[in-house]
Amino acid sequence: MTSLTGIIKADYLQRARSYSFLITLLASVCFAYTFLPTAQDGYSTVRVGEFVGQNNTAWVGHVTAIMASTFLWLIGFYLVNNGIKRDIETGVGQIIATTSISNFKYLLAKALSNFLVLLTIVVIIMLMSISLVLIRGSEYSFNLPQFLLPYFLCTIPSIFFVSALAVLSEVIFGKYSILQNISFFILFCILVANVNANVNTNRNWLDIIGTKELTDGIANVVNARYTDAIRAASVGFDFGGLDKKKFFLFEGTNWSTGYIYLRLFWTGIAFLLIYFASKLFHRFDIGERRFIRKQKQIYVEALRQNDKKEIQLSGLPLAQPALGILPIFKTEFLLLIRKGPKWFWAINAAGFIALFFIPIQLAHQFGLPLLWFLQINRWSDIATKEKYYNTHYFTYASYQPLQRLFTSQILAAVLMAVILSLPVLFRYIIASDLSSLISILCGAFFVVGFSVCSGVITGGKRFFEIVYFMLVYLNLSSLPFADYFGALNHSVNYNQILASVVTVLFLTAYMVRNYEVRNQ
Amino acid sequence: MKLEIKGLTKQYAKGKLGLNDFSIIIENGIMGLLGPNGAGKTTLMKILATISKPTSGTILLDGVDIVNHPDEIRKILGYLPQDFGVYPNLNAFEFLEYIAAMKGVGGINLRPRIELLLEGVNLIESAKKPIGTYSGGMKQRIGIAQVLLNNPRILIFDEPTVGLDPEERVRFRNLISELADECIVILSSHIVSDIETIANEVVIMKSGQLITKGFQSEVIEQVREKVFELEMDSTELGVFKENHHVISTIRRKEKVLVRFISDENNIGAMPCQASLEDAYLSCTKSTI
Repeated sequence: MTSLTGIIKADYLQRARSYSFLITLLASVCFAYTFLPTAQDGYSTVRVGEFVGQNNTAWVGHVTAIMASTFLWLIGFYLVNNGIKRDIETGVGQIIATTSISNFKYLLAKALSNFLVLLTIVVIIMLMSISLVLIRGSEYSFNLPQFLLPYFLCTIPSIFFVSALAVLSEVIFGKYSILQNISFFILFCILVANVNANVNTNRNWLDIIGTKELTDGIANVVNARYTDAIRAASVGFDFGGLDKKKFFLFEGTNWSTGYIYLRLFWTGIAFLLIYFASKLFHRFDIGERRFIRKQKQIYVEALRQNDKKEIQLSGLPLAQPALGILPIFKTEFLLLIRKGPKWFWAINAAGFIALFFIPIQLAHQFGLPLLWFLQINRWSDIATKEKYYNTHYFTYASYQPLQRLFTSQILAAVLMAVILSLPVLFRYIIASDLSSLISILCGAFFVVGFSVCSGVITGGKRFFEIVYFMLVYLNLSSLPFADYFGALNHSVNYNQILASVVTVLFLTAYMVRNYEVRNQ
Repeated sequence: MKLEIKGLTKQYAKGKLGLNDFSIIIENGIMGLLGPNGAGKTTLMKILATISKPTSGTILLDGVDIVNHPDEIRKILGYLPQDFGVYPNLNAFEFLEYIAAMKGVGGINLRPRIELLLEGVNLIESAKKPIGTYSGGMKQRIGIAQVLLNNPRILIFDEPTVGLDPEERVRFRNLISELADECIVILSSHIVSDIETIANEVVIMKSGQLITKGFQSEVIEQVREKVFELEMDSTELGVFKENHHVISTIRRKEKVLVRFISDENNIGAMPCQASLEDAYLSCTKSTI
């Protein structure tokens, strides 16, 4: 038990003390603030038709717990799915492998550490919600059970499941993080679709996130009082149809034992996932792939055994000055292309071709962001890979690293984003739709600008990955404020706004990197 | 070429000093840096390589302040960091082309220069394979090759022989000696024999400060006639260590041969010829 708590504590502290965790925490607080819109805000997060609840403790507890569960399923996975990877990278895994800790115990510790990280965010959201009740509440009597139970029965089991799922995913997919990311994203979309499906379906047992029971409870109250048609509750930021917001009194959920058993069932499944992962876990013995490489390596070494040479300084042709950025740009582009498995380019090619043939609005609104999203691993470390690969000693000591290297990195990534969007751009050129064309170019610059900006500020890629995933989800939900590539807003003014945002991102990134280069 | 370092101080978070008022003048030739872990060797090298900025102090390269004008030294710098990395998806050729571009060199001579460098570090046969498949020693040789891409006049090597086999170490020493004629070479190593073999001058550092600097003979002179050897029972060793500055011990059946430094020899020990290692350990007051 001591070793288990020791690993959990060390792992938790390692993450919690990172700069990116603090930034994610701060972003969570800001995001949590939006979970509970005021009567004047033009959006809703949980609603039944045009009905939203009055801001009493039951409503605030339910809405924030539902949103926290959904939000933490989406970003939580990406926040914590690198625990084993980090042990591999730091070499700590090799030490752990030689200790007596069992695979199950180690992976359980990882899952519990993941859980603690997400629980920290939940606690902060809870505290934020209590303050919102006091600030915005229409009554100040505190119905503690109806405020807390949604968190205890819905959110907490939900984040435990996602913590265990992250461990399993790391074990199964190993270094193919792109597969982890995409498969989870698909699973998440399916689960959320289930939550937003018709009320009281018989698929509630599939509700791993745990919000379906709560949203059905809310919908049932509305349907019982006001119904002319049976409506389901919808979850997520919704900006439409709220001109005539109607309020109803929500007094809480009648918690059924079936629901409680269901939550326990999924918690049990989470433990089973960890157990299953422990059977597949490599225990840091990842030499099989290396063995093949080793053979090649020995062969190469053997070839030169008999003919060893020395550098002849006098025979070296004189190096000539060449201060252009083209060779750097070329290599940066090559690095982007070679990132990830080669076969993944077949998927990219299929997506690229599809953009030519699906209706242009669909191609712009859904196809393009999805194709860009598939490249998340390429975008995520544009400006941070030097630190990751420890090549910054070379790059920061090079000639004009900011003007030449940083610019090349940005241009290479923008070129890739633009190439991927060529089918849509081509169709807009044919349709003479200059505004949409410019907005896509702005989108390409935005993705890269956001990546480099968040990269140089946080020093890592995780923050970008989390926010980008969220952004893609919001894009697929057709939320206008997340439309960074002009799919929903077609106007010159909107393009100007996009261009301004992009400019701010790049200026910030240049300033921070400049400071970094000068003040290591 | 002259590098003047004046009053260099590097303060890290929580007040820890990486360098403390460090001053030195370096001219063409090989300067070996010695010091225990945390002495400030890597900090000094990073500052000279313009990767890190000092908290105070100046560095003048032929009169030009390189703290404020880092590009002046970058053009003529060859730097091999202690724990550098590589992009595993690039092959050796591509990686060197990339580094060359960052250093601002190119032209028609670049390709043959890279080929000769790769030949010289015995990597030409594996030059088209991804660096991710290389062994530690092969990566280290890539590091050595990249140092020479740009006709460097100032070369900084931080623990350059790590991962190299004995034969490669000899070749590396030969290379450094050849380079030293027209360049400033700064070399740090934990392996005193590496420094002893090739460095003209030796600098010993401790806790961010300069302890001593001079030609090898001058540094060794500090412990001349102070190094002794004595054979004793292994049971006596513990008490002996408490009272003497022991440098090394060698087991010989039941006996132990102890090498130590002392100002006086009143115990009948055998005087020995002092080495750079003796001088270094004496300066840094390390004991075994």
